[in-house]
Amino acid sequence: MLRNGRGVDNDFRAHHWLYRRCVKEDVQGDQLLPARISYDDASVNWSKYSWPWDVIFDHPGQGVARWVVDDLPHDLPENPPPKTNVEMHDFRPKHVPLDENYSHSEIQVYRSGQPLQRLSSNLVKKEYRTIMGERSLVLIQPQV
Amino acid sequence: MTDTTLPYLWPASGVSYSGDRKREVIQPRHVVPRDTSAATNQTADAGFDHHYAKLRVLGKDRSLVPGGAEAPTANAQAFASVLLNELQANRIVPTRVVASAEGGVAICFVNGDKYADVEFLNSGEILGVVSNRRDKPIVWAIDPSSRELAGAAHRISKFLDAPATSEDASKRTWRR
Repeated sequence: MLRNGRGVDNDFRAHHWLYRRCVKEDVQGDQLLPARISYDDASVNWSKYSWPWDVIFDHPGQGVARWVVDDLPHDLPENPPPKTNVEMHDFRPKHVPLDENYSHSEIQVYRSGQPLQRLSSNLVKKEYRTIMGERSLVLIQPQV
Repeated sequence: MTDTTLPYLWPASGVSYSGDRKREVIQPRHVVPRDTSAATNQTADAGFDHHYAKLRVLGKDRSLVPGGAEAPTANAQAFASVLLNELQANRIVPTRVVASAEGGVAICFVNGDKYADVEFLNSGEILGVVSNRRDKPIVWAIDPSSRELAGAAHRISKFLDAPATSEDASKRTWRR
């Protein structure tokens, strides 16, 4: 888990997994509820350098959900308002290693290929959160 | 329910309007639901009691709010109670009522591969979504009016009740 001086990798493969922790309130069946997914909290652990249960280290009772890198949405919004010139948004993982967690990554939004610091479109946010909920899989069910 | 006085978030059985009728805006008011028993002061359940109860505690119990999100405001809770009342009148039972990760209240519906929700954000925005997991989700903004909320309830009901197509079934395992 420790960085130990290693640099940024960013060699994400389509089949790699991204993990995040969850609580009971976030889960319906074996998936995350879209309404409980925050657009702003994009932190995940990358399977290349992490086990699923690493995300619940020091969080006893919490569960683990995952996405596949290839599941991250592309070309949003799908249904832009008529007569508007809407640029397309893509979501990709970005390696942001921390000293105590080398696998730490973030899901970054790009507009017309350029990284965005902040997304203002509620339409895109809502589509993103819905797709991320539907494409999630809870690997370890939370007990709290 | 042991309250001796009506709690702030009793579901509204109707709405009042202010301003121009062409731009009707809901002013939530707290009235006793039509199906409240005079003897017990209890609402007939029909699958809704726990949703109303959950809605009431969302603003008070910080453990129900996602980390980093604002707790739902009283206004968001009040508008959510209006939709719950509309759903109850039309016997459309939600799956979950939760605090939204974006700050506010979400009323969620899950039926097999179909998902829908209405989010009442603390910012005052109300957003609806329906999704069948096969196509990209359809999102729309909902004005805070009785007509729009009734329309959202109808749209979600129609979406959830529509039979799944054979294409839905054939692609059900595609995501995993």
